[in-house]
Order: sequence, then C-alpha cells, then structure tokens
Amino acid sequence: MAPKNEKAAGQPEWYRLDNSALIYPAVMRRNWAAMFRVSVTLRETIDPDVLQCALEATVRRIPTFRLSLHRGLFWYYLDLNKHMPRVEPDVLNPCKKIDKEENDGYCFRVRYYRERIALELFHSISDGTGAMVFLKTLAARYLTLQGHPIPAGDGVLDCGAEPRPEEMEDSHTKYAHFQHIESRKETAAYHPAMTREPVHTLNIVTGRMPVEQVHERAKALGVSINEYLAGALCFTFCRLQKRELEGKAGKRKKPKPVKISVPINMRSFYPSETVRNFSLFVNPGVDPSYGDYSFEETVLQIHHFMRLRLNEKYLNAVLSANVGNQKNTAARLAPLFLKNWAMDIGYRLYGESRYTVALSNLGVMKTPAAMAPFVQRFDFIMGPPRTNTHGATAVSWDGTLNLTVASVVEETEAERLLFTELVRRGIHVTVESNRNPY
Amino acid sequence: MSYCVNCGVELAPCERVCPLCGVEVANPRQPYDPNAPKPFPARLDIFAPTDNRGFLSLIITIVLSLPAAICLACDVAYTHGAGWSMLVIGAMAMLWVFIVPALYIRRHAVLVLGVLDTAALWGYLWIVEHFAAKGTWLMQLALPLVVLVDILFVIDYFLMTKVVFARLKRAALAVATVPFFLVGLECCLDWYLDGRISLSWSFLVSVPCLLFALLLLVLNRRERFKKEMHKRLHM
Ligand SMILES: [Zn+2]
Repeated sequence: MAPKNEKAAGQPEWYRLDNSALIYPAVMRRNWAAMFRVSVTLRETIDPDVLQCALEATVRRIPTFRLSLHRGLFWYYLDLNKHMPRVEPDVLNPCKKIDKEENDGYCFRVRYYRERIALELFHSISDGTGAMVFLKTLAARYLTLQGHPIPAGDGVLDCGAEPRPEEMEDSHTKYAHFQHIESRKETAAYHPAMTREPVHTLNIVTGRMPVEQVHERAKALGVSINEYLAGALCFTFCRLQKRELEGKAGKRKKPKPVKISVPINMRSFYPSETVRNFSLFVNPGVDPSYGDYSFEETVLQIHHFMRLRLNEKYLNAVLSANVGNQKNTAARLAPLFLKNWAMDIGYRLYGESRYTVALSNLGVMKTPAAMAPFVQRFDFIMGPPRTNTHGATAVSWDGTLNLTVASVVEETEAERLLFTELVRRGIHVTVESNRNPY
Repeated sequence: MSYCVNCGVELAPCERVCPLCGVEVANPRQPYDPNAPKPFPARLDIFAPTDNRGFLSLIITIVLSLPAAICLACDVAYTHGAGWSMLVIGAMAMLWVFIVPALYIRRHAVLVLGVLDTAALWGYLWIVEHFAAKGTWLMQLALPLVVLVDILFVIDYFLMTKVVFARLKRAALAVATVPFFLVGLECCLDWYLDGRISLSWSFLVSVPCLLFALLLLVLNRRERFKKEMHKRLHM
C-alpha cells in the first residue's frame, strides 16, 4: 500500500488563505469560530470503517481540505496535514469550534449518525458549495465502497483522478478586474435582545416543506424561492423588533433596519471550478422606520434589492474592493496581530452588526443519477456569527425544502413566527429539532 | 402524523412537544412514540476546560519567592540577620496561601479555604508581633477581629449554601452582614483603646446598609427586574 502521506506531484506544499477566508481566523474567539455543516442522509446505517476509507480517498482527491491553519508573521497560511482525518460519531450540538489540539489540526470534522454523514467545516477552508462537493464526493466514494458504483459528475469528483489546479485556485484574485471599486456603507441592523444559552449550545429547528408549494407562493409574487424565504425571515424579525419596542415603555421607539445577509455563489457568474471559497454577501432588508411593511411588501423589497445588485459588474466591484484591501501594500506589510486587530474592527463595523440574520440557500441539490436512489435528504446548518442570535439555511432535495434555523438563544419566538407564517400562507411545514432531546 | 394545536406545524414523529412553543403532542390516534429516531444523538460536544493551574501556580510561586529571597539575602549580608526580612517572607507566604490553594480547591470546599487563609493571616500577624511590633494588640485586637470575620463568614456561607437563596437575596445577605462587622469592629477598638464599649459611628453606617439590603429584597420580588438583571449581568 502507498504511504498515507504521499502527495501528488506538482501539488502545492501550502496555501495562502483565499480572499473570503482571510476574515475568519482574525475574528475567531476562544469559544467561537465561523462554522457550518452540510450533511447527507443515505438509506442504510453508516459503517464507520467504510466511511473512514472513503474519507481518506476523498481528502487525497480534494487536497485543499487536507490542511491545517497556522500563523505566519504577516498572514495565516494553510499547511498540508501529515495525518489522516478520522471520522467520529455525531453530537447533539454541531458546529462547535474545532480546538487546535482536537482533530490533528484539521479544520473540518466528518461525523456519522444512523444513516447520516455530516461534514462540519471552518469557513476558511471552503464555502457551502465547496463543502457540498466534498460531501457528495465522500458519499459517492462511500456508496462505491459499499458496492454501488457512482460515476463522477454533478458535483461528485472522481477519486481515481488527480486533483486539478482549477479546483485549488483562489478565484477572487483571478476574477477581480478592478474596473470599479465599490465602497459599501451600511447602517447597523437590528439584533434581537434574547437570552444567550451556554457557549457550546446550538439549538436547531428544521422545517421541511414541499418545494412546489413554496415555489407556487413565490411565483404568485413574481420572486424566486430564495427571495421569498429571505422575505419571510425579514418579516419575522420585523415583527420581533416591533414586539420588543412595544414592550419598552416610555423609551423612544426608533426601530433599526432589519437586514438579511444573503451569500451569493460567485461560481454562477464566473466559470470557476474552485472547491475553496468563492462567494460574496448582499444585505437586503427593510427599514421599519418608514412604517410597517406587510409580508408581500417585505418580500418585494428584498426581491428588488437583489435584482438590482445581482449582476456581474456590481459584484465584481465589491470583489475588487475586497481583493484590493488584501493587495494593499501597507496592509501586506503589517504584522499578523495588527492585521487581526484591524480586521476585527472592520468585521464589527461592516460584518455581523450590519445584518440581523444570514440566510444561506444552497438551492436544489444535484447528484449523479446513479446516486439519487441512495439519498434520503440533504441538510445544511450554519452556526450564527459572534454577536448574532440566529443563522438560517436552506437546501432542497427530492421535492422537499429543508429550512433550518440554528440559534444560540433560549427563546423560540423567531422560529415560531417564521414557520407559523409559512403555514398561514398554505405551506405544509414539518418541524424537527434538537431542542427537546431524550 | 400529529400537528401542534398551537402553531399548526406538523411535528416529526420524534417530537414529544412542539419545538416552537413547547405544547405537548395530544393526539389520541397517534400518541408520541419515544422510540422514534431522534434527529441528533444525545452526546454533547463541550469545550475542554483549559487547565493551566499547574503553570499558573509555578509562576506565582516564582514571583512571590523572588522578593523573599532578595530580602533574606540583604538581611543576612548587610544587617547580620536582624530579622526584618521575616516580614517580607511572611507576607509572601501569606499571599501564596491566599492564592494557590484557591486555584485547586473546588467551590464546595470553601470552608477549608477559609481555615487555611485564617491560619495564614494569623501566622503573618504573629510574625509581625514577634519581629517588629511587640505588644498586646495581637491578642486583644487582632485575634477578636479575625474571629469575628470568621464567624460572620461561616454564618453567611451556611445561609447561602444550605438555605436556597436567589441571586438577589444573596446580595442582600452580603450587604446585611456589613453592619454586624462594623459593630464588632467598633466594640473591639473601644475595648482595646478605652477598656469600655460605647457604640456610635458604626450605627450611622449600619442603617443605610440595612436599608439597601431591604431594597434588594424588595427588588427580588419583581420577576421582570430579576430577568433583566440576569440577562444583562450573566457571566
Ligand atoms: Zn407549537
């Protein structure tokens, strides 16, 4: 057998963090890191030994996951990991920060529970789309080892092939053309005042609904499913804020804008094949200072905002601004601790404080036709940012949309308002949760 | 399939109560099945407690022994062992007893810690009396004061742990202890200085303390205030 540490010729020894990845180590805290999780549920109970074999094949195929994070003098860097990652049993509270000593320095975990394989990932390694490629390749490899050969394609990579440079590139620097540099000025958004749970807690509520019903409601308003869900979420937090302000007697009741951070997969604008980060954010929303927006009005506000922003030229100007900061000579010469400090301030000013909640939608999952019969469902969970309370995610498979709200607070008001609103609009929602375990 | 009667959402078979509002499933046709597979296992992934107490104790020990060693060397070399360095050595030893055992002793053994600290304090006072300021103050003033503090501490500790007290009530108790200490202090001082006891200033300070304790007790009854305080001040 070939040694476990063998490395394909021509493959880099180490990687710079890509442009989106830079921020996450800088804003990391002892108890918090930007983590998210994608999972696939198959039809048979997972065999951990087979999964381990599949994982080893997958990290050889996708070397940008086989990395550990280190501090350089000027930048963090990702170094090839000598060890092989290990699969582990699943837990009640996913997306906990990965400690340095844990996991041999890997920035991801693979966990299994009953029929499910889950990949939890630190955001510096990849975004949701890249993580899905890894997960689907892993699941396909697992099924192949179980005697159901799955061909490559539709986001599944061939474990027999060599990694290609296009998959490992930093697409941000490649595609930013500096035609214009967009400077984004944004106001602070509403953050609900709720009771925080102990640090390791992540409360997950998943609402499963027929894609067709959501699509119908969205079509009636002339918007996309993503815009419809963002609108519903925005409407929910507007109601929460209204209630909160009504509860405060005597104080001046000036509401803050409610904004939803929506990640944009930049691969849909450029022919990038990277399995690393390549996404940007836009923050649509409504400002209740103007008055109470109805559900339909909220959805339309989001729709128009998104349609205005989602074009290659505008997004490239945002991308250019981000890459420009990274290429700035003064910024490059500053030692890492100064950069971290500056980025942390930047993150406070332009990051999580500018939006109420993030909604990341991976859309309808595609798999090779041979794989589809073995897959029950896909799930996607995102731990909320440091000062935010909720994180919302969506992914669809086989006619069912899984809308997951993960929160770090005791109150369930946001989830309740969101799902009951969808029910009121004629969408059949089935909820499941990790809130009342055992 | 069961629906939440309050929210209208269908509940997955593994849900005993609605995760959105906490209302229990009440479907006589299909009661909750405790064997339905849960979406997540029970295992909790918690942060490993970072234990650097050994390292911390070592640092503290070195930092404290440094001045002690220097003073001892100076004492021996320049003043031919006059004994003044004992004050510094004693002080450092007392600080060490105050700090290092506290790192290792768990919360329920606070009384053990109290005994250790009292012994350390007492030892230090004895060193001061023996090497620097000989006199009756040790037995007549210091001893009663140390005993007084110890008694109040034990009473408070007993009340706070054995009797179930809410957070604000504990604060009220702590504030209410202050007047007792002040009265005791004045008694000791009067007795030591004049040989007779006439209480005056301690009453003036005691009255506001008792009033403040009363205020905390009243606030404790306000549920909303308590929740707000907890939300804003929780650690
Ligand atoms: Zn309910």
